[in-house]
Amino acid sequence: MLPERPNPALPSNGEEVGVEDKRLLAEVAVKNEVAFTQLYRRFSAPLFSMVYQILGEQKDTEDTIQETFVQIWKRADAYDPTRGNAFSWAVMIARNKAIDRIRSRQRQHHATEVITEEFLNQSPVTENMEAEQNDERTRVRRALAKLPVDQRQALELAFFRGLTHAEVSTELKTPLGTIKARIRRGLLSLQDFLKRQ
Amino acid sequence: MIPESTQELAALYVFDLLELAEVRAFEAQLERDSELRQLVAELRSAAAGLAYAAPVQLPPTELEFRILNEIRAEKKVVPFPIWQTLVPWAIAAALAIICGVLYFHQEQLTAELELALNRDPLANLGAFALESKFADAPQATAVVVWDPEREQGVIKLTGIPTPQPGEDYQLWIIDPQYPTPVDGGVIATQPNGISTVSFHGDRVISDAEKFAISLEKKGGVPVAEGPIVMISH
Repeated sequence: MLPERPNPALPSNGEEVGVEDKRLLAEVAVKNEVAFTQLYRRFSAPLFSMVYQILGEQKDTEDTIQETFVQIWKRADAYDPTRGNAFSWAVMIARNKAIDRIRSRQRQHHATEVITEEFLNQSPVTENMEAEQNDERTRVRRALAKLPVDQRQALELAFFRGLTHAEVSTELKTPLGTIKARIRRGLLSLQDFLKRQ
Repeated sequence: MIPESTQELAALYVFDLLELAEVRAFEAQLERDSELRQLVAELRSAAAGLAYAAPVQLPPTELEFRILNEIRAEKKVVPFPIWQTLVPWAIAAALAIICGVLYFHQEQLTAELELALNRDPLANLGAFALESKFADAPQATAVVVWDPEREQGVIKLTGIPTPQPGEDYQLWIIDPQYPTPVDGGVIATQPNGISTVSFHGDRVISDAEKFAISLEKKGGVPVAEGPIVMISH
């Protein structure tokens, strides 16, 4: 049987911020391998999905996830809970590694077109998806679906492609100031939706 | 209340979209402003939620083992406590006497360290996840833990279908030094599909590169004939 992959905590009801994740990370910091395995099982699925979405290639994704978890193992003592929850720390490590990799591959332009197309064509959350997918995924997708398309698009381009705001501005043929405002409003709204759900 | 312009900087900071000079200025502001730190922490968590917007892709089972093998390999080069505690004193004493004594002590302690590491029963174990090739049981899993020093292993299977009468599952060890897989023996299955079996090869194994399970006639065969139903990467 495959190991259970419980979801890492995202902010919910304004309070729940992954106490268990934080505890596990503290154990990893003192080189507790059991805690590391548990943390891997909590984080690996969403991180793998995210990195695959960025890189679009299985082998690179596996290598990036391996590098990410090895860094988590080595640098767990550097995690500062006041700077965000444990999951967001892991997400940023994995994202940065994936973005570095994609930049080195010099295929940003093509991938941007693909990702933009994919996200704009994404169907809204249905009851079926809700049943099939885990709670956190459904919650985030619901929250994203509530965002205006232009804000969602700006967030996703910045997050999954690592484009600078100037590059997002060029991609979307929209003034830089407007892009900055969309990213700000989009992220604040997403945070607000996630808190209230 | 945090001004909109600062909120904007916070959002861009979370996405690593600020220029270096802007980052420095913003971080200086963060140091002074606890409300802003709280906002950045919350925005980071919200941004991390975008990871869930990606279509679901599950990592392969063996990735977990690869990562664990890497961190275990790293642990092996971490200085052993005896090195940390005794060697500085030994060196100090040796320096006080003669350099030759120091050299002698270092050699001796290095040998002790190697011996201690080799005594770690988990240090050299390898773990392998076998992927199901069953059309009707894709969820079946098998994990092999292999001890290369003792040339023996343990395999645990779950969700594996009961073989038909007259058939048995047989385990194979793929060692590149041999042209054909090495027989690891027949695996007795339980009605609930869960089995744990100890095994060893019928030849000397110097490099267990992969493991595979095939479906063979009852009692097993000397050379694999039947279909491979599970294999490691």
